Amino acid sequence: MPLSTFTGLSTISSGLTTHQLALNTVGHNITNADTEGYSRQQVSVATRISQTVYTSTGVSQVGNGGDVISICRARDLFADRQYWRENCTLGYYQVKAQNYDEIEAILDDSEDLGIQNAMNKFISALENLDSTASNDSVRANVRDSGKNLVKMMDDSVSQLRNLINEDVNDLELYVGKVNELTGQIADLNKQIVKTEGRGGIANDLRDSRDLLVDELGSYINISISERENGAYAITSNGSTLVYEHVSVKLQTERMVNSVYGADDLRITIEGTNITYSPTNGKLKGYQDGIEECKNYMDKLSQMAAYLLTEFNTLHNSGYGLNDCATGVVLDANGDPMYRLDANGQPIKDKNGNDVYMLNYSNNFFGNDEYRYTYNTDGTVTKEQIDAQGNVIKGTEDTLTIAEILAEFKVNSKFDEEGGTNLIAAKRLPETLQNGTKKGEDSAAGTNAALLADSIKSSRTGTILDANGKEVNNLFGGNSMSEFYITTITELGISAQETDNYQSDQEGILEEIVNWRSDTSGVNWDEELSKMIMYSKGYKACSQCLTTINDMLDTLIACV
Amino acid sequence: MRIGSAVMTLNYIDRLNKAYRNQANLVEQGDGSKFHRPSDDPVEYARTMRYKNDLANNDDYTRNVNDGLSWMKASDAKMQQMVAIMNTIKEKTEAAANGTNTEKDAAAIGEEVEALIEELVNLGNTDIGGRYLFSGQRDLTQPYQISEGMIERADVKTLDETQTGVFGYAETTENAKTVIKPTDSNQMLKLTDGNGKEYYMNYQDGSIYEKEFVESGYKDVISNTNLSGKDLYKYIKDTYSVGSFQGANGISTKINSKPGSAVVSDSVSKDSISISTTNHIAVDGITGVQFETTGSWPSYNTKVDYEYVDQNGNKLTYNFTVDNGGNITAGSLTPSMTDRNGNAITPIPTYLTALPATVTASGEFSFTITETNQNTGQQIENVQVTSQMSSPQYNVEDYSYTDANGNTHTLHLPKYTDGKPSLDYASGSSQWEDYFVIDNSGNVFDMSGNPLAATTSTQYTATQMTLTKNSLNDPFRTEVIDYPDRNEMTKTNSFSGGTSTLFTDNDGRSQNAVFDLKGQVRGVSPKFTLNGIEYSFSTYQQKIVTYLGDDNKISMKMVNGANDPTKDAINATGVDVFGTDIFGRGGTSVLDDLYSIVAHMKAGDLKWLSADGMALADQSYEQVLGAETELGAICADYNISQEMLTNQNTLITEDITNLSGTDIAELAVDLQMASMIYSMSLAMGSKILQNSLADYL
Repeated sequence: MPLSTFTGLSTISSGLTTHQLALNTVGHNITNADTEGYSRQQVSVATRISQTVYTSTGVSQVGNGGDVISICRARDLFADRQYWRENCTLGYYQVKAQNYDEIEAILDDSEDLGIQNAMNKFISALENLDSTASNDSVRANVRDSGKNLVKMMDDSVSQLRNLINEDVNDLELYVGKVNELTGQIADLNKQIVKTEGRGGIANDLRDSRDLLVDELGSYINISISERENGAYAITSNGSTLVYEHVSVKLQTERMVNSVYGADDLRITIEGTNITYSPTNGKLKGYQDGIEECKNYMDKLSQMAAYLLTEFNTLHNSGYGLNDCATGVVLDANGDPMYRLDANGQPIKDKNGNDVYMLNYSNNFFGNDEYRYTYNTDGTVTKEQIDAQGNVIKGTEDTLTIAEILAEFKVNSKFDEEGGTNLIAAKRLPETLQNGTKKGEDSAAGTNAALLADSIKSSRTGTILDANGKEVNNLFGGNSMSEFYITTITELGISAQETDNYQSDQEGILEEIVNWRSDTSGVNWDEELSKMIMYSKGYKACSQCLTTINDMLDTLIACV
Repeated sequence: MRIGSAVMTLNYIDRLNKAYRNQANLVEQGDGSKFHRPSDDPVEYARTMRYKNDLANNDDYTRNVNDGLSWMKASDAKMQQMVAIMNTIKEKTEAAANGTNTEKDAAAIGEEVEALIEELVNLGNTDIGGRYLFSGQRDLTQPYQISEGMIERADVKTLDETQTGVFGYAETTENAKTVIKPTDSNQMLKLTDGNGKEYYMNYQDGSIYEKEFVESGYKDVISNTNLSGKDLYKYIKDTYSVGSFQGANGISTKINSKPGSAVVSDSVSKDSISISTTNHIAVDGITGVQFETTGSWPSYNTKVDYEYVDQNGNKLTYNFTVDNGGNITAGSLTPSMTDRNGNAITPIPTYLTALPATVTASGEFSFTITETNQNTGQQIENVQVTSQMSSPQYNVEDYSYTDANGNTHTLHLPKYTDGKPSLDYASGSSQWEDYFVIDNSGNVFDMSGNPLAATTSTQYTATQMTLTKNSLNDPFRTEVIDYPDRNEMTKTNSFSGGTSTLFTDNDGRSQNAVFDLKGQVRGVSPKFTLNGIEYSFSTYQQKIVTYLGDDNKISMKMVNGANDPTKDAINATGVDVFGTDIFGRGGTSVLDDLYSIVAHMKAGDLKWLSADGMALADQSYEQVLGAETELGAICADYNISQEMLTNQNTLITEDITNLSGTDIAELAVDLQMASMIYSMSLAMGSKILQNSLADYL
């Protein structure tokens, strides 16, 4: 078959078209170089089917030009998956680090304005009471610095509570965001399937979808699979969130956590009663942050519980100025009564002294005539005690963390006229009616010294078991002061670790972003080089066309 | 490897941010503190917190030490003034005793010394901000009060150094063995016999010596024998003692006083009391004898011996006991009597009515008994009865009594072992503090005037004793609430010549006498007979001082852990300053002794002044000076502690600064570098990043 006269024209025209398309794509790439989520597009050109010509030597194949067979995204799927996974972890640490920043600000003692300082002031006031027990202003200072400590702890607790509530707000907001994203992804799925059904690749739609997936991945842990028709199926913790053009929403239910007196949020999967618990991402970060806040509320409540139980017991064992108040059960002569063990023998403390029988009528913290005891689960039992030191049946009440902190106040009777006299600075009454022991008078501060020690250095409790054996205090053999330092150290270490994880994670993510952009990123130099190449090519093709045109002109002129 | 252009910009922005963040972190430290949150450096942050605790502790101790020092300095200043006054008194006593002075001069000096004592008492009452320096722990109570009038105080002999070396021993019984031990006392009790001859008694073992022997006679013994110390005393006691109390448990006048619990007031003016009893005694032929005593305050807390002569001229002693509750218990008749059937008469408290009687100056009662023959109604009068005060009976633990309304109450008193109080008076280690009073209506109060409720306490098993309502009608039980622990009794002694009692009241006044509830002597120096000689205790009219503080130390905490109350004590109590006298009366010994000197000065007793007076003034001076020196030593300790704590403070502060403080030079360099890096980054951004192929097309 002879070669058609106009074969060259169609060949050149295909050259012009492909170069024009390629130039367009370069323009598209440069235009979107900064567009978030944009993937570089590449034009693939293939030669057309050649034409067979018969020559003297036989058969030859003449090229017919080329065609653009596809314009596709340069995308590294493996990098995408890496990104989604690591971005999720980064999101988790970002939220957690931010939460720690807040807790650290709440429990900050670096400016000497925190709980440690308040505790030291209280100890100092008690030490001063030890040496100057008869001075009313010193007594008032004990009461007021006690109140200051209560206030500092109260403030911290309510700030932690606010933080929990804010975290819950954010959490709810982000659940909404997750729903929005899954909705949009499902929409895009639908468009992509529709577009690609007609052939070709919906590059820009896919970019948009991947961008949404990027964002979704920072909130929750997800796993993604692409179906044959191009739709993404997204699952999280085994629950399907997106399938084809359908998305499953998460539901939130806000409630009050009575243990801590703060809000709580339950996330469920729409239409079911299944609790949705993310294992990574910002949502998990908030949930863990809330638990952390509760943990520090626990610690503060533990300190409050100590002061309500052990400290109060010690205070009750003392006597106020002029014996005006004591929590000790007195016999008919006004002498203190002592505890006996099961065999009727007097119980002795570690110093070999008899142990008083108490009726808790002179509490320093909380309300009079109530005995507070600490339980292993962190709650405190509050019971009313009669004058003989026996529990009044039916008055037992178990206080939760929030209730412990609400109960934790300096006894209001200290504010009354002459109330500071009730502070039990000494250990013995002025005279013991019945014994031969010497009593203690107004200047004695023996109990005040014990009270100071009970916060500052005492590692054992003041409450003895039925046989008079000492029980470790609630701080596992630490003093309260040391316990607080340990708590803050733990906080510092956790916060520091989280900061480090976050910064490590940022590094990892940066690598992945670089990696991703290896493939998908637009490089101006490259694009411009291509532009020069394509424009030269286009020019060359045009030149070719002109030449063929001239050739045809010559031919026509011959006719 | 391809690099995306946008990524390059993004990475650049990241780097720039990091450089900026570094710079911000450094700027944050510009306030001089390295830490602004625990996570800045958790370990160092915790260390800083611990150091801050240490610093707070150290500050507390520093404040304690400073408080203690100011307290001690104030005390010391006052005590130095006291020492100066004591010195003046010493000189004045010397001057008064000087042979060239007349008795009139001595009396004038006495007035001066009295003014000086008042000044001493004023110093003793010094307070700082309402807290009394010398009250012990009872720092809100003014410690000293001078008696308004003259008080009868037992006269004591103060030995000089040589005499103390000889008589400063006591023979006591330990583990059934007789041992001689040195005592810490240099005083003896003064006795007089019926002829005015004077004796001194070693109150620790009861041995009595002639005055002349103690004053000078002993010197011959020293020069004639080679004995010394215990051996000498044993020899002297065996050879020269004219008699000795042979008490069941030895003799002691030591009582731990209970200072300050009594408020002396003049509201009690009842000098006379009467006891009416409905007790009857059955004597041969007489079914009812009624006793009635009217006297001055005698029979409260006492055992009473009544002697009377019956119609046949036989002298009888009927011994009965009035206990603390005012209850009368029957005793025995001496000599024993038989009734007409030859049966021994056992006196039983049935019908016994005493008639009005008077109390003589010697403290003896005499009153008349009307015996009524129950068969004939005939009264036999003019039976002479004398009485002597004797010991109370403490051998009960619980009293049950019936009040005016007929309700029965049980009163709880201290435990006893063998019928005696379980308190060991001899060692001086115990206190007898359980007293109570009963008013006219039979209501019972404690010493603070608070009603004592009935108790059914089963902690103590007790001998029950019933106080009848009838025995509670007496006026002497009124208005006694203010006077708690007077009329204490040391012990009952059996003398070979009979039975008598050695009394000492809380104020140490007089022996073998009866006191009212104000501690004043009502019956004067009753006599006791020993080896045929009738002795009575000498007393002296003088003023006395009452100490209302206690002997407890105020201590300061200087280090962690328990404090040492004696070593860390910052106060000198009245007892430290003015000593304890032989009657166990704390806090006033020096002052009472000085008043005794004043009394002798006013009486113009130059001879006493030159010996006893001088010794007493010297001893008093030493007491106050010793207390001052002791406090000075503690004060010096505190000065050292203060210095140590200040050093410690510097060290801890340094530690904290080292840990948490910023090294300014380092910070400046770091900041400089950080800002340079930042500027460089910026420069790079503007100059280098911009270049791409586009710039060259």
